Amino acid sequence: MQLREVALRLGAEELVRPATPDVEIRSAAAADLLSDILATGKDEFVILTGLVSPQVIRTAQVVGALAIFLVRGKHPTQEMIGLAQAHGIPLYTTPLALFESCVRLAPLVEER
Amino acid sequence: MSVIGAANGFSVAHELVYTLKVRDAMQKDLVTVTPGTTLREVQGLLREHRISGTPVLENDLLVGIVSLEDIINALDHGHIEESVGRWMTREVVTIQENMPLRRAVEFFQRYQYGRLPVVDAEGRLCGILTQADIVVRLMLELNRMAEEAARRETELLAQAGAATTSGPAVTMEFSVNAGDFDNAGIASARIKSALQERGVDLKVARRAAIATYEAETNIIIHSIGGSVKAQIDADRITIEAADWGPGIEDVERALRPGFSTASELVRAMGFGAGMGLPNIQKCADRFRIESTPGTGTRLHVEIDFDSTTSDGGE
Repeated sequence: MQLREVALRLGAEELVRPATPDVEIRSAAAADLLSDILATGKDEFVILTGLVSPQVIRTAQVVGALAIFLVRGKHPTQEMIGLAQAHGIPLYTTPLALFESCVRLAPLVEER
Repeated sequence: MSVIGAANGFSVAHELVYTLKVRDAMQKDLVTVTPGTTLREVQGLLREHRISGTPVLENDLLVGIVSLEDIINALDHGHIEESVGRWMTREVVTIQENMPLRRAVEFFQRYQYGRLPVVDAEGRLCGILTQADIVVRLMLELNRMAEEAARRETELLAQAGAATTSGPAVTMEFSVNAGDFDNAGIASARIKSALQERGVDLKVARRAAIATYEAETNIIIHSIGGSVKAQIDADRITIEAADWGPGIEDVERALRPGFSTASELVRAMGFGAGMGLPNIQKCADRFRIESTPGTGTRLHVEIDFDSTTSDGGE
């Protein structure tokens, strides 16, 4: 599933534009704990989180996540937006809760 | 920087309307008329400058304001050729340039005017402010804050961990300060990109970055300060994370997944899940931890470039 379709399925607002919206997404890590995200060991994945902190961006950079989706309509700080821009990590916010977001991305699991 | 209950876009804007002044948002290039100007001439000026109203000055003093509405009325009632002086609004609400924008927002809500003439401390007209000017200024300020953060991050990444080369080995050293969450992840980002530049397998680079990041945050959360050192050789990377205390009472317990002594504050930031050391261990090909209460903790991690160890939970 392309990143743009992930964003579409989540009805997400784009806050930091992706350089390659057609990049292929194969999985998602959904967690509010950074260590859980660090421990996922996934590839070609996006992060879904309710955690709003600049460390989310640094974590995404470390694990090589292809995009970050903040759930429950949470808005990042300007600092987070700047960090995401600096690291080239697309950043979105979706009005959906974490659970609903996961349900909408269920095809990612079925595609495997 | 806000750490907890992170500020959302609205509250940032809310804060900005208190810190930004009217002068920061007002338009300074003014189109003004005098009481002798005809309403027909005003109509032309409004069209030409694409504005919806203009202050009326007499001997440099603000004596009134004339708006698009006055022009429409004049066209309706047939006095469009008459002079401004007779039809302008004389009781003009002005705002001082050194007032916070919050005050202007309040004025717009209270008076329902489209624009506010801005005056200096001596009461002389120095600008004009519309609600759109406030919105534009806030958007620019938000953008500026993001750009500033991006610039700072790029600078941090460029400056951190000055590398020294001896033979094929590259050494990078980073000091890590207690409580300094702003810089958590800088060492790992630098190390990751250094490995990628060398053509090291992406998964190996990621494991090194994860181990470094967990080590960095451990020092930030639990210690009184320390450092992270990375040595990149031809076949492996060695990461040494050392702090000056207070040390770990029971190392075996600290290695148990889920065990954490982190505070509520730290947990609210998404840390302290008790997965730090287990994560590091999982990423490492060789792992050693030594800790002496009162002296400090020393962590030694080696990752081979050709290793097939997985950081994966799947």
